[in-house]
Amino acid sequence: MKNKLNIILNDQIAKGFEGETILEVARRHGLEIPTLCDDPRLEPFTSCYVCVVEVDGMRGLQPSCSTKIAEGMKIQTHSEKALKSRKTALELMLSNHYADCIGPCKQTCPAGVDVQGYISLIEKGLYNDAVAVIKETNPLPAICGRVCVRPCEVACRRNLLDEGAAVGIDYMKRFVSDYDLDSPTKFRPLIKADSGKKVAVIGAGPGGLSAAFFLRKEGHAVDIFEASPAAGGWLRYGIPEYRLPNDLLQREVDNITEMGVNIHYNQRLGETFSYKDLKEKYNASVLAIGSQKGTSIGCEGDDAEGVFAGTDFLKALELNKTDKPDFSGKTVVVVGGGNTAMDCCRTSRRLGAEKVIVIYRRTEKEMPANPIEIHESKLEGVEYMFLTLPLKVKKDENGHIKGMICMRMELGEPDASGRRRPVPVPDSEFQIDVDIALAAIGQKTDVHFLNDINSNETEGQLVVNKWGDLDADKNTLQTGIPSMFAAGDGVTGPATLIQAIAQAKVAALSCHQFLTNQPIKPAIKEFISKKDNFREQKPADLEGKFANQLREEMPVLDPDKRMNFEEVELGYENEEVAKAEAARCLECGCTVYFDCDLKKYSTEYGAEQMHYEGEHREYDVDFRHPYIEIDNNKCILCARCVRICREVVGANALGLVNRGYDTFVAPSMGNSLCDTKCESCGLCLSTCPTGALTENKLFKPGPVITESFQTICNYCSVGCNLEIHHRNGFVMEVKGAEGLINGDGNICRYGKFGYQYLNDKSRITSPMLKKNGKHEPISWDEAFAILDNEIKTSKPEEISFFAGARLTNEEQFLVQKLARAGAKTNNIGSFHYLGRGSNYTKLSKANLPFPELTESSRVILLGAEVSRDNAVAGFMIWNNQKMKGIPVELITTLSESSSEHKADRIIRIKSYYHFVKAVNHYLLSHKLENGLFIRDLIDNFGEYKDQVLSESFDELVKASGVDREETIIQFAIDYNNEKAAVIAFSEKELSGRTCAEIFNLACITGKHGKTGAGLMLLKEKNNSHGLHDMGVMTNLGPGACDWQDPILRQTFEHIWNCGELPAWQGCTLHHMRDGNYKKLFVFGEDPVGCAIRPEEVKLWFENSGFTMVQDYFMTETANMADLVMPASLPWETGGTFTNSQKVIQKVDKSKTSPLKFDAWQQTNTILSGLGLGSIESVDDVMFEIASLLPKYCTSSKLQFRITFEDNYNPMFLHGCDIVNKRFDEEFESAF
Amino acid sequence: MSKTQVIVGLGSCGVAAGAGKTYEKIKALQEAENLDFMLKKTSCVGMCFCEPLVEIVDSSGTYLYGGIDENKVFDIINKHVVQGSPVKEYLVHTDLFKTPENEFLDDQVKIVLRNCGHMDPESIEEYEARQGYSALRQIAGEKISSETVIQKILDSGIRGRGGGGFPTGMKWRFAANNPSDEKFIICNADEGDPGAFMDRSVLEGDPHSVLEGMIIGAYAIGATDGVIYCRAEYPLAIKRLNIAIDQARENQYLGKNILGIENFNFDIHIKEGAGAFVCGEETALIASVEGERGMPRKRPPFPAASGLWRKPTNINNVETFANIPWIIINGPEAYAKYGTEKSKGTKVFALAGKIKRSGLVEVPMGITIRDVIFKLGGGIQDDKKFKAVQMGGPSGGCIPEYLADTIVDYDSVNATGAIMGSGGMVVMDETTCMIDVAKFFLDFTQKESCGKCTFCRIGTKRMLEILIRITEGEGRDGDIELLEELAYQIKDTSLCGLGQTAPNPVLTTIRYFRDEYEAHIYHKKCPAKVCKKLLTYEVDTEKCTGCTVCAKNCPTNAIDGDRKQLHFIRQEDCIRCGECYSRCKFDAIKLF
Amino acid sequence: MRVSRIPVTQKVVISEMPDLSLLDPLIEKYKGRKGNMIPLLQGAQNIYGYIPKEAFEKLSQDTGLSLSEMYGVATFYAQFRMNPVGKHIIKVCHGTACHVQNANSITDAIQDALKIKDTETTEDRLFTLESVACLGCCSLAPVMMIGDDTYGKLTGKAAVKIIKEIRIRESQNDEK
Repeated sequence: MKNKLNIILNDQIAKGFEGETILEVARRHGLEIPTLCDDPRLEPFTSCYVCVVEVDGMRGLQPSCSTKIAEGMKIQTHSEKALKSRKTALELMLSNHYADCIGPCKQTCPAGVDVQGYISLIEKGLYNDAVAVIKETNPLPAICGRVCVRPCEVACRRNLLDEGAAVGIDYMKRFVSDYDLDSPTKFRPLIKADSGKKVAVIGAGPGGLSAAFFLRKEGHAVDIFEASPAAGGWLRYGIPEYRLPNDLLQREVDNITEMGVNIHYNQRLGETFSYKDLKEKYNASVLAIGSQKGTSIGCEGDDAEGVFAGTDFLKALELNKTDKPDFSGKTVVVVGGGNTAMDCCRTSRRLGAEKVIVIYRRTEKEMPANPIEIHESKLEGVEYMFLTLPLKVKKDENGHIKGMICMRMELGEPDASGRRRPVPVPDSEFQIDVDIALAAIGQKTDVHFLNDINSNETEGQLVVNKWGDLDADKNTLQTGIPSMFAAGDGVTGPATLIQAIAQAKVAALSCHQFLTNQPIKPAIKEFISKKDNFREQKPADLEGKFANQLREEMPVLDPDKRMNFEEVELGYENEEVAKAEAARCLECGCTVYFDCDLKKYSTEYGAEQMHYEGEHREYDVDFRHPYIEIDNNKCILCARCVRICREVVGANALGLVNRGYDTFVAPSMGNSLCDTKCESCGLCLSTCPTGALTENKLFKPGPVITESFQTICNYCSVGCNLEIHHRNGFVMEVKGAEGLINGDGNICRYGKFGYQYLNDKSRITSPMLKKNGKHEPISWDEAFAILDNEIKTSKPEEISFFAGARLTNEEQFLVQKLARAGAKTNNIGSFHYLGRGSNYTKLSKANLPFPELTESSRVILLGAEVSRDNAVAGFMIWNNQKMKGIPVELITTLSESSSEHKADRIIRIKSYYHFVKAVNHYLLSHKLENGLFIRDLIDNFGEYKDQVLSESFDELVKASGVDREETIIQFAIDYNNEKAAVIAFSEKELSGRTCAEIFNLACITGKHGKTGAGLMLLKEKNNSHGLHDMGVMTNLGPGACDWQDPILRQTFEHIWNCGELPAWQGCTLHHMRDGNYKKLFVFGEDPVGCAIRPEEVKLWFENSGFTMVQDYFMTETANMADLVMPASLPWETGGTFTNSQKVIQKVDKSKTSPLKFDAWQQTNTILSGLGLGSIESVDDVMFEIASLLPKYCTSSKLQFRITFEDNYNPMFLHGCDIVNKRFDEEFESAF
Repeated sequence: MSKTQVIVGLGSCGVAAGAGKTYEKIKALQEAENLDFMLKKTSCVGMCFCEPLVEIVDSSGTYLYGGIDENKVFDIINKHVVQGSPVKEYLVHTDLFKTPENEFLDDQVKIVLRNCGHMDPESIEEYEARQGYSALRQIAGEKISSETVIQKILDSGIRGRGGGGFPTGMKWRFAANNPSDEKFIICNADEGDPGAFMDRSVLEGDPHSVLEGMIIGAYAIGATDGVIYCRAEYPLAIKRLNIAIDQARENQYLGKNILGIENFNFDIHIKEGAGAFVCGEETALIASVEGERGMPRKRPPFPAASGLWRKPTNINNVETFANIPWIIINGPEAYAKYGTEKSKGTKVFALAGKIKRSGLVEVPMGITIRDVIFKLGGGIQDDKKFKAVQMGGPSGGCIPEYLADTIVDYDSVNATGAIMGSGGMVVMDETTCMIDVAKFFLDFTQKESCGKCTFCRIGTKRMLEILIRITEGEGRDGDIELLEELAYQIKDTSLCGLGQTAPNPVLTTIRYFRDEYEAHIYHKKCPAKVCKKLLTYEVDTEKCTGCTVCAKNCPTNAIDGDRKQLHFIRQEDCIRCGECYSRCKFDAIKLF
Repeated sequence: MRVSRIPVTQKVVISEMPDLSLLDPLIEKYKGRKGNMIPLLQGAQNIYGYIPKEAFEKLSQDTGLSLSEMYGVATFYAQFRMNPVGKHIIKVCHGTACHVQNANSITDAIQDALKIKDTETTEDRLFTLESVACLGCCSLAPVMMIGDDTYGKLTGKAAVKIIKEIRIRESQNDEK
């Protein structure tokens, strides 16, 4: 026990232990000190200096990550000086952090719509999710997808590439929103519990609708009061239907009313109802009144008849649909260059105008209207007069317009808006004939209700600003009346749809804060790093880095068919177009946007990127490695990646290059990571506090907010805890979780990157029957009937059952029960162990717990490719080697072992069996055995000794293939003398008998059962061990007890109530080879696909009369099967795995299964068909197993395992599992 | 009567000045004329300003001649050795009468440099003849305990001469008190300060004294192995150290049971540094010896507890070790007699810059800076105005003229914002721009930052950028404050001494020469006329001869004027490159 | 589908294969010794004048030292060079004393004359220019060193003249 120390932490007495750092003590006391370079898995490094604290009596500030506490130490973790220093540290790092947190699209969008996020979901076909992402900030995506002015597309970096066209952000938004509207699984926002508060929203335009949406989500009751007979405001009364159909608009309005928002139509504040009523009934109000009054041309004679404000014209048209004016034969002039001008000119054409001229005082380039609108209007025959200013409207005798006098302009110096100011060309006046003039110049806000409000309010006053718009705090949008908020054009003057939505969100937040009695303040400004802060992005920044891909253009109505109000833009033809366009997104934003610590702390400390501006470094992103991407621009040089690769992995694939300001992290020699000793474990990714090291994903990385659940890895037998992050089932990432075995959350490449199969759409979800050589889906009932029949009509010795090593204990048990109790056969086993003898089973007794590795004095890897197959166990070994100096010795038959660059010593041999047996021979013949240990614990020493000594030492040495006899002798002596030696060995590399001899070696030397010494047997699959414990062996029953034991069988017969259980020797390799079977039932194994000699294994299946295979995919074995059944993922059903150390770990049911019958239910259904009872849940299986475990098993003495010759006979690769096979192959082909 | 000796100073500085050729010439002359004198080599005596030096010792006394290049060899040999009449015009020092250069030596107290320039550094016999290894022999002979040795060092009051000034005896005691099967003693000979060469001179001139100091240290703390971490740029020092180590082994000063002291086994190896200033920092030095990137780590643990290979380790610099044998022989009291209350003994300084007599001096602590510069150093070159002295190199600061009466001791120097450092003293006159000096040092530390901690890596870079823009006329209002803000934070929040002291040159120049910063920033002027971009170039109408050289070389063609006519610089086109100024042969370009 | 990115292509520098057997005695001497990394690199540089990529690989292979650490060390210390150097290395001192005496003008003049930047080598592989911290000849400032020869009290012009003389000498040697 370490000494306890008393310290004073932020004026409180706190206790710590000797050797603890300030950071550790603070963490234990719930004080968060930010740090970027500290990782509990690693030695403190002290580089970021974000974790500084003040310590009494010590000069300057102390890095808490590496300052150890001392008795009586006085520490202030959040003193002003420390806070300031942290901010400076962050700002210094940010000044050289040439990176984008988010793409320019999101940066530019007034509402901050997460464009990159929803595009990535479109790519995955997760359309409802994409809409969910959009609706975080924008409740009207289908509308926006048609009429938004798209600042995002202007900012899009695709514009810089050769093809010069932005990503079709808005088109994709439209596509996905339209899809969602029609979808049975339409996105419905989560509405919080009723708050009991009521809000009145004035105006059902985009601002009002959006405010209502955001407030309703918070659980407030919302009523909208709308002056017009229908909702939509400007969207309905300003934008013509050929651009935005009313029914579409209505559907988005309906989405909001479906949330419980009420809209009261034909209600004019200050006219049909008074603010007095509102005050009584509502807790707060939001004014979203828009800017409704149109303005005229603003020149002499503009009061002539036939001159209209464009907006009035459009609104009248909408209000009076049945009686549209006829412009046939008329000349219409539209004054202005914005989108309203476009709406006016294009509508005029649709009303039959013969000639439509748009007059604009600047050039086309300066026009604020969408370029696509201009383009379409031209197609529709609209003419343009640029650089033209109307001077005077000429009237006829009736006061009706007959012409217009205009003047030519030219462009002068840029004005405040950055556009070049038009100046008149002297003496350039000219006249045109005009029948109708539409002014599309601007609108004004109508505040006729001001008096009504102010006369009824005592808490404050609503005022207008000098432009005649509502006055509200620009950050919170609270008006002079505390309970009243304002948003949209009414505040800003005429602006865009997306600005109104953005404002509505701000006002809604403030209103929500007001309603919940919180201080009213704008949302915390999150820190956003931007490349543009450093310099403007140029085409050269992208050239040669991205392949060109042309924009998917929007299909439109043929111009000849447009003399009506049908929607012109038709939408993408299909999903493929949307997905193709999605692929064009350059993914500018950082993939760790949601996880970045640098960003988190920068936000927390209000750091500014350019406070310490100066020279910055730029690097190319290196994504040559198939799983790991290096972006040095984002690196803060905490060296966590370098250190974890060195201290934990032992691969040393990454290093620091150069020094000082020029330092950067690079793979060895600056090569590609692929050319280093990198093991692709991904630990570097797990430790990177920023986005400098990220996963090189095969799909669009998003990022998007994901859900996650924890589970146990289903690859190897170490049994690591994983955290699977998915969006609606699509797995986006896997992280290590701190588990029972992997306490520090380390995982290896299998767990980290081997998740692609989970996103594979070809997974089998229904039974398939082979008909005429092709597998076709059949009903579950049909499948069960076939299985029932096949089992019932078989002789027990002709039917064989196989269960895979990746199945849960529960699944394995049920298969075993089905075989023994159901089919009365003892042909039960696993291809995983087929032909490999029975010694593995008997060995499982002595196993050193992983944590005890720290106590060992030497680790021997004997046929254990830990760096390849069981990397997390390897991490523990290498970490001890590096940090504690515990040496590692490698004994291998491989010419290139995955651990040879790490081992302190290597012994190269040709046969493990003979090597170990020679060692045993030497020890025994020189009487070096641990007599005391053997006498107390082992019976059959004499017998064993006789056998070993009956062999020739020289022959054994020769067969072992060591270079010199001395090598073996030295090893034997060293091992025998070693205080605490661990031998790690692996079933994959070693025969059962070699394992037995290793066991014997530990017995001879008395290494069993001592702290830090013993054996570490590693198995191939997550539940290899379960096969033993669950009795998936012909000679083992559940509980790994001897099946030949009649008492045991009787117990089972009794509990299962199944009649006599078979006792005969069941299936073996001979059994398969001799073809002594007619039917094969294979659960979760792919023997054909994984066979080392596939021809032989194929033959077995060809010879089978009937074959059933249960698996995820159409494996090669499944392809040969008559009936294919779908398999369940462990987290769809729950269950348990037993790792190689016999630790049973529970996997929770965390995801809904796509299967009607899960794997265990399938077996259960067959069992009940055979009259063998029925269970309700996976847990019931565990109870049953527990009830079956032999009551009389006592711990028996150890036994030497006598072997005569080697029996190394692996028949299958990849653990005979399609999951391993897929990843192994994917991994291999990736490099 | 002994033979006349002719001794040539062949330290690096001497060689650089041509002493090698001088030596060859004397040798050739001796052979050709068959002259009867002993030709010997020695190292640097410190008088770099008048290298190459040749000393002639005859029956009448010793005569040190300065500036003896190969052309003057014949003169002195012929006149002095052959004819027996000393050549006064080259004489820089003699025991017999005063020369102007006597001032240079008069106030010096040579403890560290006691042998430098007075013996052949490659001869252990000569070292032994000058009381060499007698300290070690005394310890062995009188069976003085290691604790007593430590106490002597403590009593002497000597503080680490590498810059930090930590009491050496305390350091030894810490290391001695940490039990371990293996301990190390390291000599830091990675002298990296630009403008400092004390250690090199000692290593080249008296390598055995350093070895002896280390061996005594090893005995005191119980070290089993010693490492001299030496700059690879000092090939001569390494060569002589190797010779010395071999000699020491042969003479049983190194090896097993040294001088019969039971179980005192100790050996020394040289590790060549590979060029990283930060390796002057103890923990970085250790990382470097271990073969890693020289990146410092957090202390504690201090090396005395966990150093090289995680074993207790003591590190001192060359000068500290060279003091040790003297202290043992002469007693701590003799040592403590020199110096001030808290700074005992002597300090070696490398005098350089705008000073008349540059070179190496060893002075007792407590002497004023002014005395060092004006008495020993002879004042400022060309009798320009003394402006400041830079002490402590990149970690130190600039002490202005008005503080020149500050005495040389650790605390007094620290109070000025500079540090004692390892002993660089660079003198500056009115033509030195203090911002340029600050920029120079920061440029150095910024380049030498290992890059580990944020403040040092990026902070110094940002400070440097601000200084650069100030010197280029782009200085902004608030830059001084920004510099100070960064400087104090970097000092407070850097992992090692390099970062913690890097802002010192900037802070001291801001403290003492703020007006100069302001002139750069607000008036866009460099008072010292150093910062090119802030200068205005004009043609001196009196001196211009119309030679057209300036106009031809002006890269922007900003100079008008016909041949033999007065020239004129168009200021609007002038980019202030200074080309005309450096090209004009008639000194006709004026600077403002 | 992700956006289609084009990976960075590493420049392949084809250089002569150095005679790696020259490293064998060095490896023999230092293999397995603690703290041997820097001496090994120094030894390799002494052999080739710089450290060729292949030498790194061989050292790593034969001694078990990690490549990334070796490269990290080699790029950390100013002494190590990763590219071949010229026959003559011009070291211009930029110590304090030299700086105050205008060492920058020496470097500038040499850069102009040789048309290379600091740390670069001339095309004819005759000269490499390096700035060094302090050569310890402060009293001769400004100073430069070419090979074993030190030149003091320089001006830009004088420095360029010295270099020109070396070049002439070299071309005469070639003719012979």
